[in-house]
Amino acid sequence: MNVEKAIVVRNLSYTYQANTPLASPALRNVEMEVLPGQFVAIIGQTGSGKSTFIQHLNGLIPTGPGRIWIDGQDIGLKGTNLKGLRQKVGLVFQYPEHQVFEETVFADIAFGPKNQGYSGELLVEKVRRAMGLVQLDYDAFRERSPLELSGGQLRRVAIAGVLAMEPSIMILDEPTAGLDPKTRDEILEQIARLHSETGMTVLLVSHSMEEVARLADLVVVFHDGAIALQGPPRELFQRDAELTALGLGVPQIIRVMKGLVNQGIAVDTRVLTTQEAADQIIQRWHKNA
Amino acid sequence: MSRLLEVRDLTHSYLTRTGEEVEALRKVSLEVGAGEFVAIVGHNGSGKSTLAKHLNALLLPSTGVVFVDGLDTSVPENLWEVRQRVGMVFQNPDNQLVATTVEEDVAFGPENLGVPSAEIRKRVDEALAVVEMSEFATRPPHNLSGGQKQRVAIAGVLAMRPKCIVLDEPTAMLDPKGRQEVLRTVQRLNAEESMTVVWITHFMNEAAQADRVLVMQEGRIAIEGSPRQVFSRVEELKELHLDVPQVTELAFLLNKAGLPVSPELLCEEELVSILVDKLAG
Amino acid sequence: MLDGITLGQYVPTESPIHNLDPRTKIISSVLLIVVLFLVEGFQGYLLIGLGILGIIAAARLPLGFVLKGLRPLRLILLITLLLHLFMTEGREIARLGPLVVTYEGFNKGVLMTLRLGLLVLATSLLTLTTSPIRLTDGLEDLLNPFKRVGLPAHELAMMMTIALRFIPTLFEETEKIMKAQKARGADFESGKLSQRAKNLVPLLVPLFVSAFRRADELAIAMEARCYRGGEGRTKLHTLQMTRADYLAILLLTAGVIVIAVVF
Repeated sequence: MNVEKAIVVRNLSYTYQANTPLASPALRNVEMEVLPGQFVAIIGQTGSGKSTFIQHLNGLIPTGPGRIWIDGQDIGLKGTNLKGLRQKVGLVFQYPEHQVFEETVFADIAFGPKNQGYSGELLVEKVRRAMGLVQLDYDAFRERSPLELSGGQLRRVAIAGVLAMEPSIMILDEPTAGLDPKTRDEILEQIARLHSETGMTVLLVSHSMEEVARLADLVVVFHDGAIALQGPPRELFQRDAELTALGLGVPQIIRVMKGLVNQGIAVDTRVLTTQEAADQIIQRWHKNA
Repeated sequence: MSRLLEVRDLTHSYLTRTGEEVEALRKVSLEVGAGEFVAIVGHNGSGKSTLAKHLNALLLPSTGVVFVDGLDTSVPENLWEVRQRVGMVFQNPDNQLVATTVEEDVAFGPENLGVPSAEIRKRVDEALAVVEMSEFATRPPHNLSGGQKQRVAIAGVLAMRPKCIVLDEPTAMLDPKGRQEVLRTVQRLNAEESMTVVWITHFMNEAAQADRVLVMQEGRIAIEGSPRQVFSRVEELKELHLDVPQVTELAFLLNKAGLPVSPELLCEEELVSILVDKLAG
Repeated sequence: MLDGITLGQYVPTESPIHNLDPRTKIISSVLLIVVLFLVEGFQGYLLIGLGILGIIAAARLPLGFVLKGLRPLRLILLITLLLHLFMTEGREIARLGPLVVTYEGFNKGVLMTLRLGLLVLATSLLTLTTSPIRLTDGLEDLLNPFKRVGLPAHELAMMMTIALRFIPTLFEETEKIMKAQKARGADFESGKLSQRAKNLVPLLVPLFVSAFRRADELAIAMEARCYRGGEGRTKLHTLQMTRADYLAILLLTAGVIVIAVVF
């Protein structure tokens, strides 16, 4: 029944250090459905359960009483092929450059596909393709040592290391954390291009509403281990009071547009970029003139 | 305002592993008054962190001079005086806490300065109270949140009774809540105790809170002024791939389209009230 | 990962033993160890055992918890017992196939096992009742006189502090890197020993790189906070021997001498 969905999560709960005095619930009855090719942003404060949730999706944390289907397959069943699952669901952790360990860029990106059993021409092809997807020139970079690369380049190498496994679902945990604005924009552009070129399903964990506004089809807000709100960004940002109450806030331009509406100026508040907001106001200005 | 930090024609060059000479700072000049809150923005590699390290004699000028409270940082006898007067807080909250409990960590600086035990106790308690971490005094630091760790790091600096705090991207690794905590703590120090602050950041909404903003590019100060002045130069900032607060950018776009809105705007209420004036009626 | 190990982990409670100066407790532990090696015979061990029970009670530690600390060592204790039981020559008291249990073996086995168990208990009492910081402070102070012969007492203590501070951080990091490599299809759990050792490379390399980066940053941060070695350094918590400390050492020394002389 769930074949047409990329991800289906039902009644997922998880408690850290269960059955000890230190037990702390990290997820409570999470339910989610993601369509193939959808771009989903997962937002929430530290400790809201986002990271715990995504680690369930490729079997790094066992499912427990809830159930998860990936491409229609129940991953909680005994005998589930975890390697196969991890190939299908690529997971890029926070600060992924910290996991780079090989002496050359090529060798590190090849680690995943090699574990899948690829070698020779096929392996080279996979690495080349992955590097292309993050726009690292194959010939210029393959023999370079990761130690010589800039932060942004290294992060792209790490992302390519997951892409090389050719997952159909790509999960990125705060891929822009700690980057400067230029590198951050580059990485976000990469992800957007990746999504549109390959048609992959993408789950992006982020702290920043501004960051996800332009990219995501669906924004899911985690709070205290549960999904508190969800919807397409345009609609979701209208619920600014609720978002603020969750300690998240909305992009500044939404607050400006809402401020105008509150003062009786009729503009559409469902904007995502400053350009859209400017167009709204300019239109209104010309109407008045 | 008396001058606390003075940087004159500071150049810093170093050799890379391949033997190339790189100039991280090129003839930078800068003055920071006592009690001022200065923000420095710019890309990785623009020279921000190098500049910061010169302010507390972790690095010494290749050419040019740096004075801290009148002390020349390149004079060896001044070294510990300089480091006591200018405290540093770094980016990674984990890699600057030394001790196994919060209070022991805050005590680390004064212990190094040879402050008597009773006085250390007093300073530790005061510093923890200022950053609102008193209840965590005897806890191990590794269980704290990023924002809490950075506040402990700030307390560790305060316990040395500095005149200035230099924070090198203190919020880069924090979540929005942690960023708020740290920024508010430092703003309060600046407002209530007239602490001089040099705040290095990528986040423009943080820089917008400063008295003065410096934009660094390729080892030079490219733009300098009040946040309003700096951020209103939207096109230049975009060219440098730096962020502009959305409100400023919106005002800039409206201005460009011919609406009588000045781009020297930082907060949304301001823009709303201006627009209401123009659009109503 | 190491959640199950309670051996010697500091238990922060209020007790007269906790309040003793760490130097008192370090010296006492050394005394206990010495006497355990001097004494041979059940009565002596019985007395020492009673003494240790007394200290556990005075430290307000749950006995079960302290004894549970011995669990990781149960295999070693068992091997000690069995080796002596079967390998000592003497009067036969039982026979298990080709294995002969002798009276002397039985005696020696039980004694050695007791000695080892008491040894571990005595030393774990030190760490159970002394926080790592106080322990480091105490060690530094006791080692200070040896500075003159070139022993870097302060540096050792500082290293210990930093190690204690960063062990949990590095554990977390290990777990994180392990997960990240698992997500790339790495396998840490199966395969032959040689293969498994090889599989650790993707874990160990990043861990070392990160440890070096941390060390680097920490060194800069310490320098920025005026760290310049132990010279002229003061302490937030100073060590102060009280009457209780002298009394404790006196009592223990007297007890140790009596036991050593009598048994």
